[in-house]
Amino acid sequence: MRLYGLELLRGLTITLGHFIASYTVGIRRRFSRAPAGDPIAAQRREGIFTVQYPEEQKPIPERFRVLPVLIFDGKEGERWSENTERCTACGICAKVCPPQCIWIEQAKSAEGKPVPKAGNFYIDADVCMNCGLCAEFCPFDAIKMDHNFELSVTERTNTNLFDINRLHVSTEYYARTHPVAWGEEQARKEAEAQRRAAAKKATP
Amino acid sequence: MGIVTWPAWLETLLPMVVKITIILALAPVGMMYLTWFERKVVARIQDRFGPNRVGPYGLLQPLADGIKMVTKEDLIPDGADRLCHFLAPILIVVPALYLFTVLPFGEGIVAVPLVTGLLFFVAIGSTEALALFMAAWGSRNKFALLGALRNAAQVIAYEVPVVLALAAVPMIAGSLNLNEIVRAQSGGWFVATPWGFTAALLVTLGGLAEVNRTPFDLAEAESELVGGFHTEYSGMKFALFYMAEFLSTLALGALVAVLFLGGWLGPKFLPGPVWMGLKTMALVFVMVWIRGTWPRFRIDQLMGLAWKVMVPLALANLLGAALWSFCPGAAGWLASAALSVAVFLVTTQLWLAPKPKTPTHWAGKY
Repeated sequence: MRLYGLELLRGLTITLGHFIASYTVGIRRRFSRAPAGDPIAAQRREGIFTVQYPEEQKPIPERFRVLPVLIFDGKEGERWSENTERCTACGICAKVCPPQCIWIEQAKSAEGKPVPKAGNFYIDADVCMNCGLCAEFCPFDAIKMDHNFELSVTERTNTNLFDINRLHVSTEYYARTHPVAWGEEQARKEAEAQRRAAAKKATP
Repeated sequence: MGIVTWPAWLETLLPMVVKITIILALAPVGMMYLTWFERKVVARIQDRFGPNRVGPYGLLQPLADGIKMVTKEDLIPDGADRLCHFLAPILIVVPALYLFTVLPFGEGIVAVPLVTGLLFFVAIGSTEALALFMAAWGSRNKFALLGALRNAAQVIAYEVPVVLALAAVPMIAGSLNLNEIVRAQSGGWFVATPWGFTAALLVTLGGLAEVNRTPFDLAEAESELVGGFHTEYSGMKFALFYMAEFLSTLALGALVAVLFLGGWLGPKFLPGPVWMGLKTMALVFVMVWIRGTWPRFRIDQLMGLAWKVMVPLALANLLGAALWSFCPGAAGWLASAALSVAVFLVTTQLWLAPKPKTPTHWAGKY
């Protein structure tokens, strides 16, 4: 024995609740300041869950990776130079790259001798599979994975062959996008420097 | 006496032509914005925004959809009965437009003031099944035909309780003229009476089944029949089926508003047509709300609900309306209410309750 129709009415109240909440929560959201930290995820517990992508964006997790970039020591907005670039054109990244999309040209000195600098550095963005092996293997912390996934273009044969100018980003930019990894790297380097200094002191 | 004396037949015909032209012009616009309304409401129910990219609040979305529909290729299957296939979308829209001619949108604002307006509405409303069957037959598609056959069974099943429920209204109001029915409610809306409430529920639910809307949209059950009767239609012909569905929905909302919610009657601070529009839209909202909530019926559940519950309930409701009319005051009110509730409880318990599972002959063998 059960009463028919009650569950149908209960279903209607649930959907009406969602309908009304989508407006009340939306209005509250519009007039309240976004909480600090993770703004969108924190707000989307009730009401409309849609993140309207081009206008708003979900925060990207730090270890998210697309396309490698080259790092130079400097500030954002600066241009890289031979003195600030970290790459030594050792070619390890090109060797480990599974789809073989990295091509490095070694720089030459005025006399024509090869120097440990990258003269040019190409990554075919169409071929790269974002595995991050290059960044794992780089002994100079010169190549890192980026966050920028908004790479759509209308012409790909030339545009998607990234050269050294397109690939270079500053350490400041990297420290901003990857704060944890940057902190670890700095701590590691500091410990290494201390160890070396101690070793130097021990063996006069 | 005017300067020009018009012949009498022209004098009656001309206003009708003008009003029908207005209906013809407004109906597609109304349908377009009903699609927008439905998409928005269902989206909000599902915690989404709905269309909001084309124009402010997505208001130009129906226009974009219209352009898309018009520019799409019109496909006709090889083995189709071309005449049937061509005529069906037209024949399904025309009755949907007819429905609006008898609906009063205000005191005397009605295109064709028929004395038998309610009868006309019911009769025209059920012709859609024929056009639907033509569409399916003309397509030469098994899924389309299955959908149309389901629809035929469904319309036959739901016509009965809907008409029985509707019959209570002219019985009390004393007229089939929709204007007169509204005037009969100046003392109180029919929905506030027990028989009126039951009849309003029956007409709304049965009407949903007749215009093929969820939860009764078995004729176009996407998950079972590809697209049902309109599987083989594309472009503007396809859009016409939707136009018919939405116009019928609007007409159904307007009919329920006229019959049970007092039509254009309402407090004087708003004019009659506005009240009528508000009530109609409220009912359309309820129908969209139902669509956003209830899952589709199975065909046996659908037929069971119509024949086992709605028909007895509508019959009892007719008796209840008579009791209410002949025994004024609390006695008739209680008798009418008790009758409806009792029939609902008895029929659902007797015939809707799931049967206990009987073990099959091989149970336990394997």
